[in-house]
Amino acid sequence: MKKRNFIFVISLLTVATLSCGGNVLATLSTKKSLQEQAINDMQNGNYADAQTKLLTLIANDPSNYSAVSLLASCYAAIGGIKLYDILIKAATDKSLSNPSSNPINFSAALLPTPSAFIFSQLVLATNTMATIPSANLTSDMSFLQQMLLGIYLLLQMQDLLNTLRAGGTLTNAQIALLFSTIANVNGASNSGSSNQLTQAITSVTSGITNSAGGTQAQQVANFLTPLI
Amino acid sequence: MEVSFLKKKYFNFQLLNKIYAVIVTLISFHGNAQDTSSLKKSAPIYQNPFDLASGGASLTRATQEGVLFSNPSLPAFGEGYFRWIFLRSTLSVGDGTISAARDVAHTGTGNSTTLATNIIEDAFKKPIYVGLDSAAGVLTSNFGIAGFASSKLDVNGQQFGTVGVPQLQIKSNAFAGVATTISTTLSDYFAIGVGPKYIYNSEVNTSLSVSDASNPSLATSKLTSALKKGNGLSTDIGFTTQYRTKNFDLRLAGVVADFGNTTFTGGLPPWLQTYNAGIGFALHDFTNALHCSLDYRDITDVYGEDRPKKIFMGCKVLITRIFGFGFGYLQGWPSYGMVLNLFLFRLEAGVYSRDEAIQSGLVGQKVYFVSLGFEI
Repeated sequence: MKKRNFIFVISLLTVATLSCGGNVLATLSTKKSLQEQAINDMQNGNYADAQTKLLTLIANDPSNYSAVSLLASCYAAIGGIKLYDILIKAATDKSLSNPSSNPINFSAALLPTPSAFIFSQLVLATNTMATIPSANLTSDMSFLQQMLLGIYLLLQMQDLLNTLRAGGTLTNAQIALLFSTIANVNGASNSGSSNQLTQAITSVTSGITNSAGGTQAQQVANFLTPLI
Repeated sequence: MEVSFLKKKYFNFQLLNKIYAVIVTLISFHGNAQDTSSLKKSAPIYQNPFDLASGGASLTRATQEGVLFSNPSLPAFGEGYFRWIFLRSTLSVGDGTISAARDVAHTGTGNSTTLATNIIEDAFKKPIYVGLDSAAGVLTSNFGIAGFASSKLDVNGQQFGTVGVPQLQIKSNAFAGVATTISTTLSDYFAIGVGPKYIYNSEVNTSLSVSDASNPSLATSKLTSALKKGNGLSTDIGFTTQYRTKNFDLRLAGVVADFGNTTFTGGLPPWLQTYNAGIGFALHDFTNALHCSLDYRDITDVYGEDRPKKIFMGCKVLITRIFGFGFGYLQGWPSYGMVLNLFLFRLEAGVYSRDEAIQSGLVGQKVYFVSLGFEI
């Protein structure tokens, strides 16, 4: 009888242990970190939770620039712009066009189709990065800023091209925004990194600025017309 | 008579004062800011795999070669003088490692670029962890000596890193050396032991971001400069007290690990002195036993680890000295495993979890292990 009770207790303890998958002592944590929780949320795709946590952190400490940089990345991810996915695809997808000679086709296959929501998230992301003083930008933060601005530019180009392909005309506001983005791309501190995406961005910025035309609108039209 | 009594009382007072002063000095010395950057924290450098599967609480009762690393006073308790000649090897792999291994098998080693890309992609999905541990030696109730080697590689890809940029964390810790124990009982209830070890240690602890990775020479130099190698001497001091009846044992243990801090040549960060305490009990008859124990490591918090990372608890059930199974909570994460004792051979297998984050409970990685041992 005693032996049977003993086996029963042990079986119960074993089942209790095996059935619990999480950390049973997590509530005793003395190192709770909202920033680490936000990073973990982002890794798991819970961007809304991460955004809330990062906004709380920044409200408490506006000089927490790593949290600011994470928030920019989080805004972009909410818009479907995940740097990791983009860079891995750019490096491994052999079907992509050459980023230097054909940046438009390259970015069309690499990036999501532009939409108002994606643009609004990218504006949030790039504006958030712009709040970090340049003296406090680490090389990784500069890289992120460079990538976000570059992706914003490439998506704008896609959007303009789609308008032209649909028989529409480009507005002055669109042209002004495009050149403002080009100025921001050129003005962003260079992280010194080079990849397929930076090659496409450089090709687009130099392609437009070197295009013939008396006005910015003509330059853009001359650059995009052969691609329609 | 009165004078002699007063002299004795004064002597006892002086002795207590000196002990108090030593303890205060030791604790206050270790309360100062110290270099806590070593990959080894408060957990022992080596643990028997069955002990890990049983929650890792090994201060009051460790399995075989585990006593050399958990509590040097443990061999003094037990039956007979000669204990074991042993040889053991353990392979541990994290759950992300299996898909990486599958990619290696599919890609082959012919196309190194594709292989590297696939492994990096795997590391970003789930961390890659591989551990290989070996120990061989002899143990008696008063003396033990073992050669040991242990290497651990942890490659953890974070899609958003620490600032929103993909980042690859690389942690590798390998050490080899000779561990000894000298132990004795002072009575039926109390044992002490000391465990000096010679250790050759090497570690890499760095992270590569995309901007690093896109510059191969920078990445290579970062990895090369992160590799540190050196050797050192470490000493653990252990105390165990036990209350024992025919079917019940109760043990309390205390271990000062890395006494006086273990320093290494080659610029390696030191292993800090920690105070560790454990309690355990056993219900047993001649052939079967249930051991349950709880350890609390790094009482003075020199490493500044999260509290759950210092708590190890679990039970081992040994049936007819042939089969056993263990279960517990290793740093709060569930663990379980089994042991099969086949005369000369000993097979152990199980699973436990490693905490990958600074905050306990956020990211746990399952580690599967299999261990084959030989013993006399």
